[in-house]
Amino acid sequence: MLLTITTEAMIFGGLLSSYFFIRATSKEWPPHGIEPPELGRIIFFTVILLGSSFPVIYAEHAIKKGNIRGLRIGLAMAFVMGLIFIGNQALEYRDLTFGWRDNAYGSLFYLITGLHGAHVVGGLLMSLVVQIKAWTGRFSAKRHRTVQVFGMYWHFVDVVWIFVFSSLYLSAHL
Amino acid sequence: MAQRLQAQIDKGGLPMWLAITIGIWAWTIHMFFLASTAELACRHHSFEWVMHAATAGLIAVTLAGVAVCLKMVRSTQDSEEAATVGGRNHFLGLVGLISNAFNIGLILLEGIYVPFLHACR
Repeated sequence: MLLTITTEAMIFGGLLSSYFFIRATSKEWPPHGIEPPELGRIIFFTVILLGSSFPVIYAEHAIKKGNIRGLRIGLAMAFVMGLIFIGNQALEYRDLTFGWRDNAYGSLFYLITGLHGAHVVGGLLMSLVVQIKAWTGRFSAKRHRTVQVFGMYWHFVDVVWIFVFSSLYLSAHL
Repeated sequence: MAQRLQAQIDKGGLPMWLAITIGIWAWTIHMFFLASTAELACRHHSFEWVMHAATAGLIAVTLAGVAVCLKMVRSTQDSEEAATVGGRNHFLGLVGLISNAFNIGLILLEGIYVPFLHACR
């Protein structure tokens, strides 16, 4: 999982660097006619996504103590929070006034947020598998490597969002 | 300290994998940092020193990874085909050495552009 995460970090690092490279060579950013992304709404959903790491941490601690109920609750909470975040992303795409083929800004915005969204969806699917295993009694205090691997991935997706949010949303207002 | 490190390596845990992949992480962070602060360096030229410091710091971190990988390679005579912990460490240590050395080159290459290319001037 660490190798997967390392590769994923390289992809996001490359994409975000290309965003800044194009930004640095542009006279106006975002391009003329495009408003910087609205912050209020995305800050709220950022808190939800980043907050979803806490139930996962709780779930990891719970299963280490053999608390299956705690594991199920933690995983379910994180799943719902991730689902809310991805739901907002779908709504945000609907409301955007630019398309992914309009200019480099649009292409990078959709590509980076879309790739991150795909990772959240991937995390939700992983969560489903882990939850099914949790409900069918496959985990114990001694045997829960799957939960740890899922937790590592979920935290990574959250950390990546900090960079995506700072680069695409916050820095556009600077 | 050395014994604790060896124990972590033999365990095959996170510290070992971090030592192997540290160069890739350092390169990614370096690329992102330099790209995201290029505009700032255009406005405040003294910020270039922070960029140089980032290059030096991340190379130092990667060199620490190289040292651990070197220890992994030297700590055993087992070949990678031996299917032992030592053999695994030897192989992964070599992978880490090559990867980290390559990434030091990339970080240097990225860092060199700071004093020589002044796109914003």
